[in-house]
Amino acid sequence: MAAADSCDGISTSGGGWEKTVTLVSSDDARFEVREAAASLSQTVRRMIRAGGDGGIPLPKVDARTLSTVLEYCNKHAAVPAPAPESSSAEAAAVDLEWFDKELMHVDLATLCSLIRAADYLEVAGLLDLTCKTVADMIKSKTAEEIRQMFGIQNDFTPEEEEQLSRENAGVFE
Amino acid sequence: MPELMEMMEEIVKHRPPELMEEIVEEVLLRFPSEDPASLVRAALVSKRWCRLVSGRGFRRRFREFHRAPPLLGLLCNRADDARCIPTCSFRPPRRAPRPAGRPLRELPVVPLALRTWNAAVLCAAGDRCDHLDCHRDPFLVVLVGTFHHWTLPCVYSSETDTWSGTNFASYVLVGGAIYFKCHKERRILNYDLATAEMSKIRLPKGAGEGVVLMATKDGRLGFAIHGPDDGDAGWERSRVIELGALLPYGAILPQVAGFAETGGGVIFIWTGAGFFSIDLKSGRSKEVGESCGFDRSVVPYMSFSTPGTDLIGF
Repeated sequence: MAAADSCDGISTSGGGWEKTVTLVSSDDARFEVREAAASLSQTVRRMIRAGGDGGIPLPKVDARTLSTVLEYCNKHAAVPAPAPESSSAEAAAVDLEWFDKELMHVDLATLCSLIRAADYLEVAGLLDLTCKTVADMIKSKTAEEIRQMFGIQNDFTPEEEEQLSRENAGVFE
Repeated sequence: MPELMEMMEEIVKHRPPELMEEIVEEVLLRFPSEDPASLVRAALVSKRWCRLVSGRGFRRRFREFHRAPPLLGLLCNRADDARCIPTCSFRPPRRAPRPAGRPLRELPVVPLALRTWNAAVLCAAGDRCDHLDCHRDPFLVVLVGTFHHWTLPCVYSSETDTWSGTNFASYVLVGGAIYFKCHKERRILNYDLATAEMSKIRLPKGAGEGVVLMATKDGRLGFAIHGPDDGDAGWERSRVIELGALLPYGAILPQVAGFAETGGGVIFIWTGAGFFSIDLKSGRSKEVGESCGFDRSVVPYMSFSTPGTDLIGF
């Protein structure tokens, strides 16, 4: 995603005239995006409706994270809605699934930045995808392994840990 | 100074990522409902995580997110007691699985000397409940038993703590009615929950023993049986499952043992080599437990199981 200087306007990308908007990241990088893609973010959609000049400021998202979010939005907004159960619908679903999987091949820190951005920008599909990816990464880990991954301090006393395990004995061998 | 800056950058780069509370909640919501141990491990991470997953709000959102309760185990009779055969990380703390911390409840004696009987426990709250985790009052027990030559239903209400009404194998809830398979007979009893009326449905010839009632995908009553059936007016064959390809060599004397309405439906098969589940949607089979000494019918135990603790108030 190349940063662009233009404000709201008209572009010819994709072979047709499409309305675009400019999003400005926390580190002042400007991204020109098709309005249809940017509108996958409910936060941006509200700001487009509210109007304004000079691009839409997104002070909680840096350029690197915003570029990945927009990659997701561009791909998902580009997929037309063919008749359900048709072969093209199936092929499009497989293609999207592959794209999503590739997009999630990032480290944990990047994933967490993406979750925070998807939460702030209210991109429901991306929030689900990123949270599911982290859930899959940690669901089989022990409490200590999870603490190490996220730098969390164990603030339980041994007695409290013992009580918690005892109370939930129904799920342990 | 540049060295110090480099060191600081290096520390920042290797610092574990932070997760805000609302984001932790979004991640934990997506933990598999059929692996309750994973949420308990998460509760043990820290007091903040524990407070989150034990809280009422998270438990409600978890049920709403996953919608259908997962299969935790199979309840099965043995010669002198009943056991739970776990199908996931859930382990019943006592002989019968029940929500943590809630006492077993003894019901009044049924007012008839019943020869054989079968019963279903239902949530009595009707539209006032989402039926995703109804372990609390009010509940109904609908019991159908044989008394001399009559088959009679009795209904227990937890609100009045009494049995009312004076009139077996498996049961299934379809629409607003419970269907019971009569013991050693080719009949199904239909108990309408709204009108409290009973009616009978005949099974086809050859479908006497080893019949398991089930709900079809389109919300109709069906049954599963091992072996050929002769067909009958009123019943249509919807599917034939070739067990030979799904069960391992040595899984002798297969018999349909139970049905769970989880996912696209799961059928349980008793064999001499163990209990097997067959997922009707994927067509895949899996061994779920040993069968030695167990009766050839099971009752699936499906429920959400999220961690609970008295430590929340710390």
